[in-house]
Amino acid sequence: MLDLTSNKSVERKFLRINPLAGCQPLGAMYASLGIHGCMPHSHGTSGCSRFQKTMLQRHFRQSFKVTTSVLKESAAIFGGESNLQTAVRNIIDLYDPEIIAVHTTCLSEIIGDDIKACLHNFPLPEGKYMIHANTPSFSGSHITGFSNMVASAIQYLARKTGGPNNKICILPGFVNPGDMKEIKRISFLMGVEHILFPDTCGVFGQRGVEKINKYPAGGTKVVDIIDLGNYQKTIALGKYTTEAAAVQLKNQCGVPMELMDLPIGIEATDRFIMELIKSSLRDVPPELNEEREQVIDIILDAQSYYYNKKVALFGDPDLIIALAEFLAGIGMVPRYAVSGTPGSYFEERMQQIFKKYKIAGMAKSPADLFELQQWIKNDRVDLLMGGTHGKLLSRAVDVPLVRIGFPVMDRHVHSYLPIVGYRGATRILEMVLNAFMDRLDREYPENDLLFI
Amino acid sequence: MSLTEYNPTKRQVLTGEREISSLIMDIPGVLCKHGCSYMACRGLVLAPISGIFIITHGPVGCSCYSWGGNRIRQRSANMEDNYSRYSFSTNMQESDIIFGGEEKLKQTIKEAVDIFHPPVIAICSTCPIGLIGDDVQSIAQAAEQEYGIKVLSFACEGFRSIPGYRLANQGIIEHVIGTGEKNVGKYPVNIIGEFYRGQRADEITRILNRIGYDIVAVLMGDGSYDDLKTAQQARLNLFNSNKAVADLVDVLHEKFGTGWLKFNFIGLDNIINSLKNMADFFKAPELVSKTDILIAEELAQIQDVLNECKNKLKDKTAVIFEDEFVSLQYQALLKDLEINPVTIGNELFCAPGQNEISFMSATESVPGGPAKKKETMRYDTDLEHYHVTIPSRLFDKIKIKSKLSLNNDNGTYSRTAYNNILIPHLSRKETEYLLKILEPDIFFPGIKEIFTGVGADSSFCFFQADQYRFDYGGFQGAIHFARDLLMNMRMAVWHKNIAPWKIKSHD
Repeated sequence: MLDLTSNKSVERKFLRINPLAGCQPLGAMYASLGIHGCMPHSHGTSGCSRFQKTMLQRHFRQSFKVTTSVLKESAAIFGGESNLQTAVRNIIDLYDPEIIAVHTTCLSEIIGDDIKACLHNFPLPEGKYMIHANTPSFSGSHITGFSNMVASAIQYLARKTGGPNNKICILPGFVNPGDMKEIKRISFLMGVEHILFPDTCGVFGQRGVEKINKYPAGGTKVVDIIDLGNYQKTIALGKYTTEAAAVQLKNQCGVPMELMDLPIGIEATDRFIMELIKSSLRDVPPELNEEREQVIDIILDAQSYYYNKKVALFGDPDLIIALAEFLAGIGMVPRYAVSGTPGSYFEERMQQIFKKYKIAGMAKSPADLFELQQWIKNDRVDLLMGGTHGKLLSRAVDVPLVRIGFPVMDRHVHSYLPIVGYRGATRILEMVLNAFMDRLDREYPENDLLFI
Repeated sequence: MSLTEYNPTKRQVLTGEREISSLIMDIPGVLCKHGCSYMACRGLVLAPISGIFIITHGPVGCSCYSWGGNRIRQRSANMEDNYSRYSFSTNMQESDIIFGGEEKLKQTIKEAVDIFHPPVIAICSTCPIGLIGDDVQSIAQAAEQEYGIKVLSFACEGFRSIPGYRLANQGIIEHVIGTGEKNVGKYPVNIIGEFYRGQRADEITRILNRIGYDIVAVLMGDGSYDDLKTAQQARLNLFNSNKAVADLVDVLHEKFGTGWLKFNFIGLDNIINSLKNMADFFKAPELVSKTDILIAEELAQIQDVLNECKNKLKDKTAVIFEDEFVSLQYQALLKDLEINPVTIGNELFCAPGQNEISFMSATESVPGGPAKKKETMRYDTDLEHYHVTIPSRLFDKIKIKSKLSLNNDNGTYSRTAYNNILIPHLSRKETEYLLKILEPDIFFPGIKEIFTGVGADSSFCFFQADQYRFDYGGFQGAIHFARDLLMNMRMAVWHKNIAPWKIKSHD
């Protein structure tokens, strides 16, 4: 398994081996699914939407509807605008969505289709909306695409119509529906009136099949997105996924923004709750106090199993940053952190964390799993944390893998359970401890194997 | 050169090959499950061949999605050339799109050679390459001379109408097959088709080896590059593919004089006929007797369990709404269990797009011009007066269940294959109506249908083998299929289960 990776570092500037990130349309597709009654439309070849849909489908274990413009050679020569118009007409006739979210691909970006003009000229029925985001695959990653789609949804829809109300807009970033649900629960417990955008709770995980022109109950309603302009504040969780959208809302409607890390782990969740307190009329409820104490109790109880263990983290930058801070805070050593998404903030922020906890860590973005494998071959770690793509690496270097983030294509249930908040911290701790203890159970000599 | 007498055989084997003209083009804005040229070229043909170092020339996304998704199992002789677990790409950035990616590709090939020393490199282009016009072919030729290795290039940009598997197969026939020699057995055969993968490939190999055949090379299935070079040495090509590559075997016949037979490893009749046809082809008495012994042994092994399953599944009705290939396979499998399926709206017999768009709302785009309404007329099926011919066995069963007046004599448009009924040209809405009348015990929805609502209101169970990692090939396949059917029927109770507090009491 991955036997050809040598531990000698090699000069490599162009060849990308075992990539860590998908392309922009993937994130845009996921973001559009977080809008209620939305049909994501991929303005590209049929293969693009198939590839990205397959990956999301494997992660969430649920099928969903995505349409495509089916661009062919003729579109490459004459432009794909007529295809887009046909597509929009067919979508409205057949599937009757409330809103169509068009995202581009490398093909349509290079052809240079003017989507905005094309959609502008289209006679749209009353009460229907259409938005688009430019998501060229040759820059950024799926995280960039997610960010672009959220930002352009705000650009198209959000309007300031009156004075600020007492509601808060929370931009959760590229997280699972389980995490979004937990963020909503915490905000609800804090007594904060809020809207999550995008919100994929109730979009995935529905039993049975749906009607062809019915949409899942979940998702942020279009009226709520329009109303975002009147909100009191935006809390943006994760710089890479939400900053663009929060800035867009600030510039467009003057909604003040607060940029934070994803609330993974104790410190980040504390900060999130402190931010919520500012808009809340309530004290922190006992439920949250209890959950926080529980996490701390677990950390103290299980210390000996994870203390000073080295971890390699890979995946999406916002997740890795928050996760590294949590793990470093409880005494683990995030030795390596790699992300496939380009951007210098990741390395800067990781260096801050390394410095704070005096860790000799290495962080790189954009990097790939081949590089991580070479690092691990030279200096081993005790645990891998990241998506399914680390499966091969895990087998190759014989280090247990804790599946977290996106994509996790070979496990069920994970997307419904949170990793954010105090409950999420408990779950992360459980996963990490189980990985260590399962391994101990397997490797201990027989006479050392105890029930305690 | 060798001489062999060739007798066409009469035993029927159902396979799924089709004409390229029948490929259904998708309509913009309609749910589709089709992939692209790159997907087929890299994933279907090149990825299962061990020893080939595939570089995706384009942005990183395509190489990420096509990494490790297929259920393939490479069989490479030496582990040094096993690149199947890696994904390589040139990771094009915006500047490469503007200034061209040729330099980047050259450097990437250099780095690949420096780090991995592969014996053969294949370059697959993605969408941007065709538009910015990188001369991939000449770079490949230059690299071939510079590094002394084989470099193949495939212009499989995603927007191309020509399917990627054709491009890839053409490339392999032109540049690879016939470049090597090896010692082959007495009865050398090639396998062509994507059915030869994973567990099923193991089973096929076991059975063919037991009879005494030697598998020389495999195209589109789990094979190796070194074997492919010697594929011309086989005397028989075993062919079964769901893709429009039926002319592939003709090309091989023209170029190397290799005979070919249809081969299907799903459904007992198909397997037995395939094996017997092969024995007939070589005209060797030892093959015939060995084949007969093997078939008898394998059948004896599964007989008891199969009979038990048949008893349990007696008097069940099945309805298939799959695409043409999958439904052919299900038909064969269901036949082993003596269930007669009703096949609805088989794509093969539908005009393009008719499955997706039921009425006249579809519009077709004209390149460069404004979209036009489709002009062809189509009438909705009048289900009240629609006549369906159903074989008497099935007829009685359905008649008992429903009050539909099925007239056995006044049948109009239906066709029997494998003693099942086929109802073509039904739209989604009509299908749903028919399902309500037929009340099948088990329903096989296509990939599209599971989330687009056919039969959503019905309480029968859905059969979804896609979500479950088992393969129904081989003699054991019939039993596995029966067990899965039983499992699905048992689990179906949960489909319509509602919480007790939601049921209104009638007191």
